[in-house]
Amino acid sequence: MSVKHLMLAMFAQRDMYGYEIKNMYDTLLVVNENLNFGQVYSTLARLLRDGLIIQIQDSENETQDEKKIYRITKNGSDELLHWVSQADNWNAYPDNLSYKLAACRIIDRDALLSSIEAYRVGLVQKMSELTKTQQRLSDEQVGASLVIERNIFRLESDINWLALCIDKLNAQVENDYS
Amino acid sequence: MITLENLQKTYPAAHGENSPAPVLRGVLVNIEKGDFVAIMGKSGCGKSTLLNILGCLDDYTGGRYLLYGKEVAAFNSKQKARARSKTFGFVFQSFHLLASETVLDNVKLPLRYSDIPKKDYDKVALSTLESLGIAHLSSKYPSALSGGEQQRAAIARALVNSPDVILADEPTGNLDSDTGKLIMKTLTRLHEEAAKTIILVTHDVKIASYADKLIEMRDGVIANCFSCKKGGEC
Repeated sequence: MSVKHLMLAMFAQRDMYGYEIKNMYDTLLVVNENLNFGQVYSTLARLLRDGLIIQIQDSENETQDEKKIYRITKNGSDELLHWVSQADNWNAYPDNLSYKLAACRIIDRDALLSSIEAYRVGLVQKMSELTKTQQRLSDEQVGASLVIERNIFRLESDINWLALCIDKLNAQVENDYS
Repeated sequence: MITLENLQKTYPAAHGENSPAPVLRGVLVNIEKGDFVAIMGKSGCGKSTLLNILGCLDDYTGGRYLLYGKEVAAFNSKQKARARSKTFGFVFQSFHLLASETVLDNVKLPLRYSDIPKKDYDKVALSTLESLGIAHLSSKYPSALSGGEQQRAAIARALVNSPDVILADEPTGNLDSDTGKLIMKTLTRLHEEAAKTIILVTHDVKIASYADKLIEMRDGVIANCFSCKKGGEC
C-alpha cells in the first residue's frame, strides 16, 4: 500500500491540512474505500517521524492553533521521485481461492463450484458498479478513471478465468463419475 | 412487458443428422418496461436465437412468449410485422445499412411501416439523427463513415419509429474498444433519458456490465440471472 506516497504527491502540490489530504485522496482514488481520519493521521505521524514532511505554522490562521498544516521536505520530494521512478512488481495471488483450487480434488467439489459461481457473479456485479462509476467521472478525473479501468480489466480477466475453472471442474466431476 | 415461460427452440435435424437440434431448452425470463438487460454467453449458447425470438424475427417451438400479456405464437403475420416495426428497434453487429442509400434514407426506411405521413419522413429522420448528434452525416453514404458512425446511424434507424425496446445483437462486436464505449454510452443515454428498454446480446462481460440486469446463458438455458443494482433481484 502506498498511501504515504500518494500523500507525498499531494503535498508536492502545496502545503495542506489533514482534512484536505483526506478529501483529495478520496477524489483521486474513487475506486477504493474512503480513507478514514485515523489512517490519515497515523500516516502523517509516520511521514513526520521519517522527516518526509514537516509541520508548519499556518500564517493565515494563526489563531486557530488546532489546525495543523504540513509541508513536504527535500527528503520527502526525493522519496516521492524514487517511488514514481521504480518499476512495479507483479504479484502472484496467494489468495483464499488459490488454496481452495489447489485442494479441488480433496474437498467437496459441489461446494467449491457453488462458491466459485457465487464469487463470479459478485465480480460481474462489481464490474457493473465500476463501469457506472467510471461513466459518472468528469474529464478531469483521468487518474481515477485509469484506476477504475485497471480494475475493470482485472475483473474481466478473473471473470473469464473463473468460467474456465467452472468448465474444467465440471468436466473433472464428469470424468470421475464416468 | 416480456415474459418467457419454459421457452424452447429446436431446429429440425439437418441433412445427415439423426436428431433435431435443441437451441433453447426452457428459458424463463421476465423483462419489465425500462429495463436494461444484457444476455451473455459463449457462441452457440442460444443468446442470438433468443433475441431473434424476442424481436419476432424467429418462431419458438415450445413454451410461451407473452408480449404485453399477449401470446406471440398466436400473432398473425400482420401483428408480428407491427411488433417488429412499432415495439422493437434492431441494432446489429454488422450495422446492416444499405450501401446505396444515404444515412438519411437509411434512417427513413422503417418509417414506411409506420403511420407517419410520407411528407414528414425527412423531418422525423433528421430529428432522430440530431438526437444522437450525427445530423451532419445525413447526406453521406455508409462507405464514407467510420464503424462508430455507421453504428450510430444504425441506432438512429432503430429509433426512428420510437420503439419501446431496442434489441442489440453484439452492437460493439465490429468496433474497437473506445468506439464500443461510445456506442454503449449512447445506449445508456437512451435508457436513462428516453426510458427505452434495452436488451443486448454480447459475449463480452465488459459490454454486459453497462446493463442493470444480466442473464447468462449456457447450453440453451439460463445459468445465472442477476441484478447489478445493489440489493436488486433478477
